[in-house]
Amino acid sequence: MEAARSSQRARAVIGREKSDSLSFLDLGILTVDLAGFDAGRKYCGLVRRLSAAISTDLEVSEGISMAVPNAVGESVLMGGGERKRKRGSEPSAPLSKWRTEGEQRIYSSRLIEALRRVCQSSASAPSASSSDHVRSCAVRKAADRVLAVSARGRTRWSRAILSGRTLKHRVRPKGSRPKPVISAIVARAAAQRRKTPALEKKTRVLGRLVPGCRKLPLPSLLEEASGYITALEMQVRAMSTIAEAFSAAGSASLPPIHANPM
Amino acid sequence: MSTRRSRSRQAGAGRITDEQIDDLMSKLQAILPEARLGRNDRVSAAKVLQEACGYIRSLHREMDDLSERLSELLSTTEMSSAQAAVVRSLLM
Repeated sequence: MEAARSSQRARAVIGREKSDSLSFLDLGILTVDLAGFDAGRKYCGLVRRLSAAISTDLEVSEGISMAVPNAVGESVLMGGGERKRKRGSEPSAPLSKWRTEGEQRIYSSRLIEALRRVCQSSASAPSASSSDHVRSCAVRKAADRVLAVSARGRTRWSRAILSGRTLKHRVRPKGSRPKPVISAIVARAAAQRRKTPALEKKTRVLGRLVPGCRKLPLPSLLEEASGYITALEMQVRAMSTIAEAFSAAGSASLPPIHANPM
Repeated sequence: MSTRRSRSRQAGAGRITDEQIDDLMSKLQAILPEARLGRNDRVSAAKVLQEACGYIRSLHREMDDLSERLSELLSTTEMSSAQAAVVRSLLM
């Protein structure tokens, strides 16, 4: 069967050369497009196990998310939660989803749950984490994690956040990570064609600011940065709204007034 | 297999065009707050990158401030599930 053969070939290729992300890409497109959704799901399971084993900094996971077309990609990457292919049901501008009120509401409710857990954990261990700084760090980390979850793992920065904040708060374990040498060279050559050293430096700074995007070529970096900025804006909006709600709830413990803060 | 790989490698090199980069740059510029750049005229790539970095940094700072504020609020307000419901109703 086509699906079995494709996944077998995928397994063979993965076993042989984990670092060649281009053939990975080809297989992704082949499996999903030709062999259909179920094969895509099997492939997705393979891919997820593989990405879990390798760091998300690899272009492999990036290649997957960019190779699989968006509508199918959502189902495939989510492990086939939906049985149907939803072509065209995706918003054509993925950035605009961060601006919708619905998305912000979902984020807010998830964040409140996370905050409740932070509150409980700091209450149960008062000696350890009673310092304000530790707690605010915990709050910040929880907020970022919820944001990354809301991105549904489709962006590199969200995957980097979920895989443990490789940039900001932790020292990165010095790399014994296999790098996809071929495609990295190609992409860098292509993107570096007429970059001045000033541009190069700014690109690097931007790459450091966006989680998980240090060694990304310019076009992907720009895309990730746009998504990251809009997501951050939503995060700021949601958190300030929650802070207002908390101070209102704290100062006046009355039955809920149905106010529309937005 | 090797032929397809080399072919797609070449296609990969050509796929990242100047036009694509310019397109992404203008998209990024559109996202940045207008006060930072005149949105009508196209600004240089360096300026866009610089403004993007500055904007992300200011967003991070705002996030840190908000986290601090929220953590203070959390410590003073005992967060029971009843209050979670109250807060949620205020939001929706």
